[in-house]
Amino acid sequence: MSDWLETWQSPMVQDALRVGIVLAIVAGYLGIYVVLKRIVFVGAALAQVSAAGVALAFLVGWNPLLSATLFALAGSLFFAQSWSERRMSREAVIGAVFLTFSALTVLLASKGAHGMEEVQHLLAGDILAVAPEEVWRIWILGVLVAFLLLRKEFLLVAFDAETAQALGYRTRWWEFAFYLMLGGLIGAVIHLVGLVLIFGYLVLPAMGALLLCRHVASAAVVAIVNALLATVAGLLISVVFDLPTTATILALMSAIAALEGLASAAMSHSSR
Amino acid sequence: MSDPLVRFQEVQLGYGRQVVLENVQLDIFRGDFFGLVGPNGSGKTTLLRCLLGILKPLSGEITRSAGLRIGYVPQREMLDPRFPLTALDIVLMGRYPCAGVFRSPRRADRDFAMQCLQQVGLGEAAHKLYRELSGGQRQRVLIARALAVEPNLLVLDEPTNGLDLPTEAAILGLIEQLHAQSGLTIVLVSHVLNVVARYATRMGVLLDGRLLVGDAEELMQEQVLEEVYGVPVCVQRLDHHYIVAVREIEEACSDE
Repeated sequence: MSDWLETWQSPMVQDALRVGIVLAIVAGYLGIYVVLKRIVFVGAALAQVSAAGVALAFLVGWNPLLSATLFALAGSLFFAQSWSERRMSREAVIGAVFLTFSALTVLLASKGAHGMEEVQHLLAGDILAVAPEEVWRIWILGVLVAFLLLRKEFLLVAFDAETAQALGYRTRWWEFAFYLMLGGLIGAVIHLVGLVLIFGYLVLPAMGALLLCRHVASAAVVAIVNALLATVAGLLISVVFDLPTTATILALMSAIAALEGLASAAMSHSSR
Repeated sequence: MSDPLVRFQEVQLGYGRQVVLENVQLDIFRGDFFGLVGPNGSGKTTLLRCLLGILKPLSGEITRSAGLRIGYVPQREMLDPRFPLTALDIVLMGRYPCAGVFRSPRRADRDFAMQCLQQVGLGEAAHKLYRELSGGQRQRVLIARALAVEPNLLVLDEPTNGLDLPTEAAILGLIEQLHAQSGLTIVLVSHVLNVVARYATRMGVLLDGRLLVGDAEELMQEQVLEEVYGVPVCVQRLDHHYIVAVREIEEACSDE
């Protein structure tokens, strides 16, 4: 018993917990918009673009945070563009970007010092491997993004961009701002927690919350609570039972979303 | 006649190098009920986007009177009902510009949004989710949101699409009431000729990249409509209603 308590209280787990909490709050909230705007796979594609940035940084000796963020921001600018779907669907373009940068990540990493081990880390990640000096950076980013996100304008632009334009909002700039925040977040954490975990934070907590809640504000709160719960419990369970942390957190997020889906179905059934 | 709220002078509209409408001359006057019709792909949306200020003209001049506030009612089908938003949440969006960026709407904005919902007969559904409302109720919510802007020009894009007959009549009745009682200037865009001709005091018909403007009686002529739609049509009047039918169909009906 005391063994796992000692591990839980170790700086390594406490740093992971701090990063996980910020990620849960920011990505949990951002995820509501990602799911509502139907851009779930943009999140995955951006994470993959960002991973290629990290692989390149490792290969040429750049700062991985800077490289990942620059790649993610470039990807954000690309996805924030509106383009005609007459000749090619947006979905296909997202798939193409994901595949291209997956291949690029593997190619770059294969020439790096750590080879495929590096690719594995970028994909699966390990929140327990966060360096202490990076924790505060993530906190500051989290606060900034959370502050900027509490904006009614994102909701209006996501729900009805044409009316927003008619009301005088520059929807293109609001779209850019949203994608830049999404890219900034992904770029900042991808080399710490990996592609799968950041993708999970953006999708699963919001899914469960949107199934359960009747308002955007309450869905945002529930999404954050879902993500926090999965983070804290996932870290604890992975320490106690010696399980892979990323997979444990993701499994908990999925279980919470499934339970909320069942609760929502039961509620709508009983109200009929 | 007073100065127009919006004036298009020799305006050319389009996207990039593609010209959709040429030499558009149009005045929307205070108190007008202007109906815009045309076949699919004739440029209705392009003209509408230009009127709203979303699209810049390729050439020519569009003048808007000082203090012009446009309340816009988009096509219902363009909005995603999965968003967990109540009727009041949506109407409140019309107050966002008043609240300003980075600020939440105030209590007064919320009260005004509630008044707008009551004005369209949906006061009791304020806290219902948009997705739980019927098509007609959703349309009323969008009209209430446009009213929340405190507009002097209300622009409606295909407000009767996908509605059953009684609901369509109720929505058009509401629009007519807003025009008659509040003196609100209306621009109604629709592909349903009969609807526009019934209510509009002036009409615009899009034909081969041009806009023909006149009153309903001038434009609801068989010769004009045959040119616009490229098929032989028959136009009849019944009380205040125009009945337009493609000639072959009408003949088939009269044979029965």
